[in-house]
Amino acid sequence: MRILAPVLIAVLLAATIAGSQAFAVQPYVGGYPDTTTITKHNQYTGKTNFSGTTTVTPRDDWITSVFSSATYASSSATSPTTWVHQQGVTLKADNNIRGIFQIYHGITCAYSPNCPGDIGSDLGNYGTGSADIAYVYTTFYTNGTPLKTNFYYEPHTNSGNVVIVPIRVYDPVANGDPTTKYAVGTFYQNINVGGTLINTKFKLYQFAVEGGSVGSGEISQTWLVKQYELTYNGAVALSGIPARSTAAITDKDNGSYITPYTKGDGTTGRVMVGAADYTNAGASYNLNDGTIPKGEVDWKKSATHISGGTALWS
Amino acid sequence: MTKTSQTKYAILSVAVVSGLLAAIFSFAAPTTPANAVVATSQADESIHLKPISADSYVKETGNSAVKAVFTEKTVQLKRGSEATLNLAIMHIGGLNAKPIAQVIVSQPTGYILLPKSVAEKTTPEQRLEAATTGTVIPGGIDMASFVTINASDRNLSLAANIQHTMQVKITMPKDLPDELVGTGFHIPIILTATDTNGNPIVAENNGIDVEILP
Repeated sequence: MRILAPVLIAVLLAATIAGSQAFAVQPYVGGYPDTTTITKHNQYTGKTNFSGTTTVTPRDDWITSVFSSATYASSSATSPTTWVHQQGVTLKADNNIRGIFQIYHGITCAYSPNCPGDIGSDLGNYGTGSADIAYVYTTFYTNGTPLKTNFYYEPHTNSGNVVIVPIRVYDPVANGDPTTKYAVGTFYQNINVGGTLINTKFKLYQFAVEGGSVGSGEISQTWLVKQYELTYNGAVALSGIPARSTAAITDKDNGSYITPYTKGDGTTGRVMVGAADYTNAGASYNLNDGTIPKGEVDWKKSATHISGGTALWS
Repeated sequence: MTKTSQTKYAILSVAVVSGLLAAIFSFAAPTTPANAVVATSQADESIHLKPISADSYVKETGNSAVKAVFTEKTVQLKRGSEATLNLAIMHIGGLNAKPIAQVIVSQPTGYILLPKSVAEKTTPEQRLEAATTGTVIPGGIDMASFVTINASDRNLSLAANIQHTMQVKITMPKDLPDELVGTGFHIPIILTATDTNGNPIVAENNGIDVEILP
């Protein structure tokens, strides 16, 4: 007993501390192409710029530009696979910028080098003299036989230098992932939630900002994440499809629901991206600032929170 | 120890554990923003794109992770000069740390620097093709050529919570294009690690910003 009690305390303490991490709320705000025409394709591209973000403190805080897509098993498939592929560019508290990705099956992290979570590729630093990163070009795409999913990150410095960074490759087949296609568009599906059928709007592709912070779930510093020149299907500009915001992530119409999935008990659930709304995330976009082109959103800390379902461009 | 004292000790232990748990939960529970929409049942259905660091990973799991940290964040160099920098390789270990981390430190193979004029002549598709095939775009510079790592430092065996400080030489060739003078770029150092059974250990690589002086 003399020995066991301290051991018990230590074990419980360790388990509790580890478990407490699950309480971390990752705030989320984003947008999506709002069309009932579902286009299946092989590639997304986009650019992320953090200019306007002050240093993110304290340590272990971060803010990420996130691109998430539901997937299909083939061009002719009528329902998504329940798998989600995510690519992101993260600004960390030490101003290091990293390229990360994760693969989810339903709500389970199915692949990343360190599920859940990714150390990512070191792309350089933000706000540090002549090597300062102006923006990061990203793309994720499927290709090859057997098919692979590729995640590419390309930092551009303020002085115009560019670095080609080795592609990170994910093998869907080896992970039991039937994905061959990505998709933009939306659809409604009735989902039984606690005995009530809720006709939920799923947004198959979402461009967004996600943050992390121990405790408040949200960074308090000024931040701005610009997502622009977004394309799908190789090089088709997303500006050609009207877009809306997914603020209010648990709202059946305006929430960040991305795909239905089969739960452990065999019933159908809803996968949403992020766990909570930002308290004070706003945005500049074409329909509230005509100087901003369609296909671009400047997400930012703002006293006025963007409403769910806000039209970003038309 | 008597039976009575054992019982007292057990009660005391339970009380201590309960107190610790209460304190920890009150500390760890997030403060929900006033107008945030957080529903526990729905939050269970959420996914997260989550970046981690070696430190945060060890803090959350108690496992091992390694990371590389330069003493400096930036180095200024003229063309035809070099600098020898200290690089600390750390094996951070929690309660479940691996006894030994086998660490490989290497140059940034496959990282290609394109000066502005070269980048402007290419499209993202061409650069992606170059990344896919491993071909170097004319005018591109293999960033591995900037970095020299001593043979004795390339393969390290680090016990938990032990740090190895090594020296890395950064060299700027004489024939760097003029347009790079006054500009900068980031040179990553690549880090991979396994335990003694070959299982991967989380490895956080980092690099150094280089500014080219006239």
